[in-house]
Amino acid sequence: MAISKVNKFHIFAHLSIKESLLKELQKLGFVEIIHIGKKTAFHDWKNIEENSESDVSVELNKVKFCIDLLFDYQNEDKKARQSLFSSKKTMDYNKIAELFRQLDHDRLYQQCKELDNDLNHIKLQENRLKAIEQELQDWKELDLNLSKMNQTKYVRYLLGSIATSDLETFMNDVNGKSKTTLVLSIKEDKNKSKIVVIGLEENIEEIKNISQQYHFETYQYNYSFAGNPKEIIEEISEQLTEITKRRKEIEKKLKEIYKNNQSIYPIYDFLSINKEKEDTKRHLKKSENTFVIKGWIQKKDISRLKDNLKDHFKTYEVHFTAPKEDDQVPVALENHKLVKPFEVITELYSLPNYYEIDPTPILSIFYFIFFGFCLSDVGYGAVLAFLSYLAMTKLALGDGAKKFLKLLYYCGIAGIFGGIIIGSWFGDILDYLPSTFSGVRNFLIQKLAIFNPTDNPIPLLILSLSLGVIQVYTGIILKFYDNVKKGKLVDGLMDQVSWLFLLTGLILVLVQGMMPPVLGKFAWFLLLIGVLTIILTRGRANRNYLIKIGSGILSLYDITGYFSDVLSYSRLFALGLATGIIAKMFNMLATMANVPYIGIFLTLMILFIGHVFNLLISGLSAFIHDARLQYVEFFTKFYQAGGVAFKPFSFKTRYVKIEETQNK
Amino acid sequence: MTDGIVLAYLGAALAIGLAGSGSAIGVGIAGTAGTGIMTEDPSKFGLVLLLQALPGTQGIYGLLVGFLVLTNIGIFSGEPVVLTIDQGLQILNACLPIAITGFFSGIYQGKTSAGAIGLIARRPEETGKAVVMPAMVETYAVLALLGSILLLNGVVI
Repeated sequence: MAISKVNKFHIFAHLSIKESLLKELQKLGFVEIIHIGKKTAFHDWKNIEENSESDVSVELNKVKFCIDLLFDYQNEDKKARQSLFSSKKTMDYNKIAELFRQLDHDRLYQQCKELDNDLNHIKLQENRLKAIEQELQDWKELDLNLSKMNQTKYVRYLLGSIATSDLETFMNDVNGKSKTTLVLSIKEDKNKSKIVVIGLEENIEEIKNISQQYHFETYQYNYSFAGNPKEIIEEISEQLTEITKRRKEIEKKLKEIYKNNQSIYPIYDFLSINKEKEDTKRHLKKSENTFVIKGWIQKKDISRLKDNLKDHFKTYEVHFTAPKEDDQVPVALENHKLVKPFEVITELYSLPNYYEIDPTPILSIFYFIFFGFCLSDVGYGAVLAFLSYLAMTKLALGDGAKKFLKLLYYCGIAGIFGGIIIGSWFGDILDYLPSTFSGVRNFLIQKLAIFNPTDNPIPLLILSLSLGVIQVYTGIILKFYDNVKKGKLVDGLMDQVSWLFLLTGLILVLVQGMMPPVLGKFAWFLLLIGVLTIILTRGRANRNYLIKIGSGILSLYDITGYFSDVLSYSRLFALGLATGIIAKMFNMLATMANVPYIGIFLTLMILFIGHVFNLLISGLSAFIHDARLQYVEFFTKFYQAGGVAFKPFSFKTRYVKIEETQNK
Repeated sequence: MTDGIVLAYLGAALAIGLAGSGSAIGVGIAGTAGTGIMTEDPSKFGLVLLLQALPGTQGIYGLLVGFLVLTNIGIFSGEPVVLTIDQGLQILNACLPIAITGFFSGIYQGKTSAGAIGLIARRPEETGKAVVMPAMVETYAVLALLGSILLLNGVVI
């Protein structure tokens, strides 16, 4: 129930079983393989040459290319199903290896690559054609063979656009200069007009000069299509239909390929497994005939490893040692399955150091209770629990996401409890029930609920602060426990127990009025012990007596720290109250929608949108503020973070689950 | 003297308006940072949205206090109570914590959120820490909300 004990292992084996041994370790999936390191006895052994690593990477990339390309050409319903609702299929490793041998993935890659190139090529062509078509739309009314227009001996054409407002003066101007020149307007709109100027070769320079004064923008046609614009546009649209047809063909081919090559998904997993195996070889070292593997293993798995090695191999030697001081030991958390989801919160902060305490079991209790206080609504809690349970069981998700959903499921249940205590059911929705249900309502709100924070907030506020006191105490006690465990009992007594005395005394003094006078004296007594111990011992690291006492007195200032820590827990009360009041607000708005006929729909809509919104906002702040209380108020008392996660060498797959092959 | 209700209205208006403005500015600041990140990596939309939403709570707290005021003086039930100037002033004062703190903490939480969005852009694995940072600022909005609620609760009508 805490941080799993980890041992270091070395395996020495004959080079002939290198591949099969690595595969076996990967299949077992519970050891982490690390680099031999420079300071060991094997530092002058040779590296394992990475013979086929690059091959596997290249193959993996090729298969990945095919998968990415084919992703868009699945059947629609299949796409939706595969991404969410289908769980991973289980397959046999040897069977996938067989599939891999059968599939000519190089050919498949070539096929896909070619089709992809075709698609890209078509796309380019299509864009070009569309651009030309767009241009020519303006000249549609011009009946002139564009490719041949300036090849005659005497006549010259000038195409271009000019401001519509200038058009008339331009025409007059040109006609004034030379009678043989003709200006035709092809297309006019508000600002610009497309015109063609037809004149004799000898006049063309003069015409150009005039047109320059009118900011005439020449249009140059330089494409290979022949004919007048209308004909060209027709030709282009024919080609576009052709392109669409070809694209359809290619897409059909790709769909066909997708249908016939389902095996690329397991093969992708197969290759990524192999790639990891090849990558791991970097960590090994070899001599003439043997090689050595170094790594970490959880203590509970040691016997399993021994048994498995004994069953499959002969020429090896395995050796276990406890971790040394300067080792960076990887951390694997091991908790009861009820507590396990709360590891998410711990991991979000940082894993604990290997030699320290795993806070998760204790954190889980606090997190659960606090979340209940922050959400504190039966309706919201139930919806949250129901939805996360649904998602957890129906969707195909990774282990991480499942763990998170399970956490949300617990949080939802906590919210239900919180709601019962303060009598909040979707806010005050019970008040709107017809009077026949008033018995139920009275039972739920008057009998079951302990607090009524809207009428009298103080008891719930005090409860929140008390929970804070409990958590702060727990933090201090955990630190004390940690000190004792490390054999620093005296430090623990002076640094933690003294504070417990002081704080308990202080609290008792504050609530003195409610107790018999004997206890009051006792409280002052506790307070005095605490204060004296702290003043006398806090500065024990210093030699100078003045500094010793001075720093002792100064450290009494930490009281304000504890004070603000406890006050911080008032957020439990405030957030819980906020959830209820916002819910009430929406309920009231909904009843105000007294419009005839559609009123009932309006009411239901306001209720639905409002409560979904409130659930999101309140759930989010419950989650974050709860986590903050753990991190800032609780962890600072004792927690030593900075652990590195235990990353086992295993079959990491994306599409299929790989079964352990039994036949050996 | 029965003009106290005007002061109570002012209180509710300040709580809703100022806290809401703070949130709007904060969400705006965080949103600008977020869209910048998403031009690089649109897949971060979910995370960015979460961080952008964090400074939005002040507005909700303000609305909540405003709503409490309006309920307490019986606006929704259709029978407004008669308030003296003194009672009106009490209600106005009770609204000030969330109005003032909501406005400023909304802005600063927005800035912290923007910083946190920058953090997840570079180091997505540190999301947990990035989410906690803006929540530190929000503490004071929660405390102000608490103050306003307790003060309101103390007003005798």
